[in-house]
Amino acid sequence: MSLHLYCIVPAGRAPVAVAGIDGSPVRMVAAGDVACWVSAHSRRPGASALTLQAHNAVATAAMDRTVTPVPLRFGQWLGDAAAVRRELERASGQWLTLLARFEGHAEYGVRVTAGSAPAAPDAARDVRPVQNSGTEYMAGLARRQAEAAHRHAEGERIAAMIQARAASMIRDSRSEPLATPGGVVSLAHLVAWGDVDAYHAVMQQVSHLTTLRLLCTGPWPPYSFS
Amino acid sequence: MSELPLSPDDELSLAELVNRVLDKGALISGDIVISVAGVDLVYLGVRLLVSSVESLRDRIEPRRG
Repeated sequence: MSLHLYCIVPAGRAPVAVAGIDGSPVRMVAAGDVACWVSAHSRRPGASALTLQAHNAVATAAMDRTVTPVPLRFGQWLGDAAAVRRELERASGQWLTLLARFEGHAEYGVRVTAGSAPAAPDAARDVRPVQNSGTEYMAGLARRQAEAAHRHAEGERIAAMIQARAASMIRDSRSEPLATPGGVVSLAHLVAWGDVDAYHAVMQQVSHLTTLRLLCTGPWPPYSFS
Repeated sequence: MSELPLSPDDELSLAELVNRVLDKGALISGDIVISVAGVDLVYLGVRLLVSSVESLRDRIEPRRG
C-alpha cells in the first residue's frame, strides 16, 4: 500500500471527517511540528474529475480560520509512513514558514474571460488548413495576434485595477495568461478571512467597469502560493 | 467510475480545480506520476495534460443530451 499525499498541516491537526480518494480514510503522519494528511491505496488512482475533487476536498477540509494547510500537488506518493516522516523532517523549516505565512488566509481566484460575446478564436487553435492565399493567411494571423495582444493588455489593466482597489486586502498575488478560447488572465489572491467580504465587494465594483467577465472562485487552499 | 454532469459554471470551476490541483501546490519529493486512462505519466506540466482533460469533458458532454 502506497500513501497518497494531500496537504501539510501543523502537527496535532488531526483529520476531520472527510473521505479521501475513492472514499479512503484520511490519516495523519506527523514528524516534529508538522504533519501530512495521507490515504493508503493499493495502486495510484488516476487523474479524473472525481479524484481531483476528492484531493481538493481533503485539503479544503484541513482549512479553517485558524489553520491554512500547505496543499500538495496531485500525484505525489510515498511508500510508507516512514518515508513521509523523512520528507517532512528534511524540509520542516520550509513547511513551518509556509504554514505561518498562510495562517488566517485563503486563496481566491479571478478568471477573466471575454464575456458572453462569441469568443475570438485562439491563435493556437484556429488552424485552418485551407487558405485562399498567403496574403489572407498572413492577414488572418496578424489579426489574431492583434486580438491576443489586446486581450492581454485588457487583462493587465483589470489586474492592475484590482490590485489598486484591493491592495490592503491582498497579501500576495499571482497572474498568468488564460490559454483557453476567449480567456484573458487568471489571477490568484491570498486574502485574510476578515477581508473576504470587502474583497468580494471590490470584485463586484471592477466587474461593472469592464466588458470582460470576471468569475471569482474560492476559498481555495493556497495552491498558487505553495 | 461514475461521472458528474456539469453545468457551464461547473465546467469553469472544474477548469479552476484542474489548474490548481495538477499545476500548482507544493512538491514534497521527487517526480510526480499521474495516471491518465491507465497510463502512468511523469508529470511535466499541466499543458501536457490538456488533451486528457478535454477527453474527460468529451466523456461528460454526451450525457447532457
